[in-house]
Amino acid sequence: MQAKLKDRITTTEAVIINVNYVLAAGVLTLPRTAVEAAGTSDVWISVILCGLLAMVTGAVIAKLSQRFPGRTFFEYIRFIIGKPLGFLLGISVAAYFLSIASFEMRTVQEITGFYLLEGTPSWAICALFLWVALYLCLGGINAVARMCRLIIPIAWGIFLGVSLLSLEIFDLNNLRPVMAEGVGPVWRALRPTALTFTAGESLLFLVAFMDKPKKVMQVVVGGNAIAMVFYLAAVVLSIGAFSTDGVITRTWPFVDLIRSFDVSYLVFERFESLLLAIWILQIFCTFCIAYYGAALGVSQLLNIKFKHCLYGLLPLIYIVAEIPRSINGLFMMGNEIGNWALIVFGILPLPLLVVAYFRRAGA
Amino acid sequence: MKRRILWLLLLIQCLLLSGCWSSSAIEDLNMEVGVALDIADETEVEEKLKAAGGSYPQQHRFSCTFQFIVPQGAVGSKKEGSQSKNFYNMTETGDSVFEAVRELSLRTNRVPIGHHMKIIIIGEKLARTVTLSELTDFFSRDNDIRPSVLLLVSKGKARDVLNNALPGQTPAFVVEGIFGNQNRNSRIWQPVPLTKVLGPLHSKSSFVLQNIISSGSESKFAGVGVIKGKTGLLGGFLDESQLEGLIWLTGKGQGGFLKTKDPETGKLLNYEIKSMDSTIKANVKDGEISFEVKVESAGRFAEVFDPGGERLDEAIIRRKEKVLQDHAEGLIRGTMNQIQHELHADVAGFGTSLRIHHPAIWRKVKEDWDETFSAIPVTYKVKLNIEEYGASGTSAE
Repeated sequence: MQAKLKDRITTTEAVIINVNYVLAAGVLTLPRTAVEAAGTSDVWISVILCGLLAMVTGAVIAKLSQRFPGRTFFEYIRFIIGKPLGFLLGISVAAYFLSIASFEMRTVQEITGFYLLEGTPSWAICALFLWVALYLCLGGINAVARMCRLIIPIAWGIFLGVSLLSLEIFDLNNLRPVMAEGVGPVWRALRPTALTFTAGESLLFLVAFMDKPKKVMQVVVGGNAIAMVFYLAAVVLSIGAFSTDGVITRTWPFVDLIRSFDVSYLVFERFESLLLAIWILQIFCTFCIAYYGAALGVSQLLNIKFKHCLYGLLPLIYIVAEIPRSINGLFMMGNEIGNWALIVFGILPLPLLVVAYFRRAGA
Repeated sequence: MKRRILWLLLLIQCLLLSGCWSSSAIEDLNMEVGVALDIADETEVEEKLKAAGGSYPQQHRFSCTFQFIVPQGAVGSKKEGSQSKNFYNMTETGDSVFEAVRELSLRTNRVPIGHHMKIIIIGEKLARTVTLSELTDFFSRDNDIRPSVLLLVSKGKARDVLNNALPGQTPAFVVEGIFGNQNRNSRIWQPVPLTKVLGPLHSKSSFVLQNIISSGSESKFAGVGVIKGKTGLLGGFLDESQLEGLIWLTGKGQGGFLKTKDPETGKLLNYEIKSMDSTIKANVKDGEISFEVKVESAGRFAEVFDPGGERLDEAIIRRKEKVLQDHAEGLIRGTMNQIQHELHADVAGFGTSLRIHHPAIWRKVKEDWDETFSAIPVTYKVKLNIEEYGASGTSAE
């Protein structure tokens, strides 16, 4: 038996899953990576451009998936480019999801070990992460969707709250002048931004579960627009507080931003633990969705029971997560995964769509 | 039966899942609230320990004094009265801050935690010889010390500041709290957290840090120390009036007063600042840079010692405004003289204005900005508005 596709999710749930998939560890590091590449404060323009760009690539993937109602990418790819090639591409996509899951988990391990639970062994942090994710994914896509929906009010509320509080140390002069060096810096920052802001891939299997696949464009536009707001807030607020020269010295600029102010008039004085707690939830969502995608891919490509795939991939995720030997290795891994995504999900879907159109594959 | 197993499982879960892996009891922690960094100068305790054989190879670069707070109730039988202190200081001399912190672990069983660190005070002699980036590197890298920790310099020994407080108070908290008086006195520079020096240190631009001095049993905010961008070292100080001028120049004041003598009557005049604002405009004409400073302020009479008990009508108010404006401009000029011609350090944001409005010119001059800045002409325009005179509508008798 293959993964059950009897589960159905509503359009809203699809939007929520899409947003939760995009929002992950990137928010914590993007201000640094983008400014490093650009050298000026114009990177917020790049974030907006990337958001729009992601909508375009997302739309292509959505169109592709729409041609094959009720089927995931792993099932329909062989109708477009044939069985052997399709199998290879399918496996590479599943491997991509797996490495995303590993990357996110390793990031949590690093942040938690450094800021939150110094002294707790990293395997203990990972074990909890893996087990809970396994339990959740066994419940199917609906369970994942419900969990995503559950954490949104808490996570987004706290994110919005701490963002507003950080305005205390915000200095608009750090974001001026706008485009003083022309479009060069904006262009240079596009790449690192795109690396963290690849959004379309979850649609490869999400569309198959939607009860109204026709409304997929809402998922693409809504999902990217919401995610863009978060990335924009992270970039603008971090630069506003640290200035471009300061932000590149911070390993986790957004975490340090929240560590940069005390609030004396509220119940809590410091908010970094709160932010990290909710952002770990957010990363957990991404982890689960990627894990689910990887397992679904393997299950459909190799015709193995979905549950068995979930169990089988679990140790693999842990092993891949432990590959980077240092924090630089981790960031490099993130970069490589991003490059991979740019090719597979940014460039490839368009020719696939064209081929599918001419071969009259799908509806 | 099933129910019982379920209950048993829940009970076991309570035992296994509660608590935190890396927890430590608050009574066993040394909560750091302040640090003072000075040029190497060992304390009596340290010398005695050294004489007894407690030393290791080091170059004696600086002394770190850590202020810890004594958790309430941790002190056995607390003596009543002024003798009881709720803080204690420990000094370690070493080559690096980190080494000093860890060296403390040989002297106390309690683990220091830095989450509540409020201030870092750097002594003048040290700040003049070791760069600020080296001194703050540990603090900006550490995971529990937050970037919100405030930086100050001290003309004199920084360690002394941490010794002074009224009974029952903790010096680090007192210093942090004085920054809250910005609305009462305009001779306080804004608190500068570590967050705000990372940028300037990296871009090699100059900035100022509040100076605090101590004498006997009390400490006082006294002007600011200027950190030079090029060197990262303390270059000099602005005294209290020069700081006042800097506050007017940048419009960063939130309140305070402006005192002068009316040359016509020879009597004192005191103006309470309600608000102030300043804009620095950069002009570039034929490649020549110049600046225009425009300061505006609103406030009220706090004291008018004019004789005669005259009604404070519009004519008098206008005349007094003029007197006060001239005085404020004088303060600003004094400050500008110091930062342009003595210290050669742009600490008032002139560079920022040029960077924002003339980015192309800025790119050409930013390399050696502090020197370029010291030769640039600046014009001033100060506008005061006395809105009211309080409950008394006449001058003093």
